[in-house]
Amino acid sequence: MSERNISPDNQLESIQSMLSYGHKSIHLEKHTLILWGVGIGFLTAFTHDVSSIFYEQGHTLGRIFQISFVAIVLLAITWFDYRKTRAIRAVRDETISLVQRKVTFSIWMIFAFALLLDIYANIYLGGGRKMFGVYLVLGGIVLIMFGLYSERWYRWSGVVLILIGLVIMFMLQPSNTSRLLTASVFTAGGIGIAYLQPYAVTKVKCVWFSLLWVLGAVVLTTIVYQLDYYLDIKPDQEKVWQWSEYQQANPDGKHVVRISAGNQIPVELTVSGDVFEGKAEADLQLKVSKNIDIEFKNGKPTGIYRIDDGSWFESNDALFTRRFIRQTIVTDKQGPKLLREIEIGTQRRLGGLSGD
Amino acid sequence: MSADKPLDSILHQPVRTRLVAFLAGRGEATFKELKELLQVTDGNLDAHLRKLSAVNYISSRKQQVNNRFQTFYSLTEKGRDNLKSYVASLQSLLLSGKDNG
Repeated sequence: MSERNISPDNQLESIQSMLSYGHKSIHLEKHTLILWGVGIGFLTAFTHDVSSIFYEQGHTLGRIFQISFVAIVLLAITWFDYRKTRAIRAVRDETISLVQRKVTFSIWMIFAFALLLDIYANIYLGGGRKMFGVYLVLGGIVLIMFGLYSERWYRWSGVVLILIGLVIMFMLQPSNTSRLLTASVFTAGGIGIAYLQPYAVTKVKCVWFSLLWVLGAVVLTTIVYQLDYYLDIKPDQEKVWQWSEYQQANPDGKHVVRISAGNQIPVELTVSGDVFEGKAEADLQLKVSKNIDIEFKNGKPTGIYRIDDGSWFESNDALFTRRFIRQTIVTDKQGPKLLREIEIGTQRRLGGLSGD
Repeated sequence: MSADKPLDSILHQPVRTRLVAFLAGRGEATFKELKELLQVTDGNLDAHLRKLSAVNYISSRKQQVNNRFQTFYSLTEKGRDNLKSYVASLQSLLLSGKDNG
């Protein structure tokens, strides 16, 4: 074809389409989704148990081990995924596009951010379990980022992950249930999204296949919950002691003790701060409104409890500061006055903090 | 830019235009990827790659994969600059054509 016969219009169109094709050629390998899904699922499910030995030696040691463990597993997944992806592409005689490299780099930054959140939650919020929903939302953002340059299925799956993450953040208390659910969503999601990807070509199929892997996650949660967690913590003893009876007998071994509704339990409150001299303490007597059964071992609570003959829980999941109201008012007689109201509950709910 | 400026003869060829534009978007590509994309024979593609390499529009690097060498092609700074100039020339050609027509 001679130079004169080539139309500028066609040439510009050709350049436009090739540039666009070069930019959009992103492809997620199957192993990447499975590796990250199962890997993060594993971290969510087992980090707490693996770290517990170190937590027994001290909280600081436990936290250092937990954060190091998470960082090492994430780095190992990143390294293995990087090597495997390049090996697969080399065998297929394919390169990794510039855009994919940049998106992958952004995603590593997001995982680094998630690790920082975990560190923050461990130091300031008393544990990473409060961040499960946030990790799912971040996972969803990662999938949407990939989806923007490739297929609808990834965008769709990302939105589903974000929705589940929001439900866990706002509707569920940070408990073993939310831990297992998060772990199952990551695991079932990673495997499901990878294997269903070739079939999810239309919007309708995207909906059905999303429901399928979400269902898989729920089934996995239920199975693990029944097999491991619930049966594991349920006390063996049939007899429920009354508190006064237990106090008098003071028996050795594990026993379940009931604090019946109507009994008073003391709530010790200490207030101090850098603008106050010393601290003020108060012993408040509050009546319990429900029967609380607590497991004791040799006179000390083990942390296992239930309310009104319901399911058994661990004390980590027991009492939440559901609402904390802070106000500063000015009264005629006393001048400025600080008001603090704390609501404690066994179920978390929205609207945790208010005031001025 | 003047519409009278001659178009870059290396880039003003459909296969080479598409090849260079793809590399600009993709970053790097193997011989096989380029061949599948452009739907040309090995000999034809090799000839175009040689022409582009001779004027330093593209560069190549070799990497050993499973006991064989794989060649990766990418655009050089010169190639990228010339593609931009070429696009500008085409646009000014179009504009001058509209003005005259």
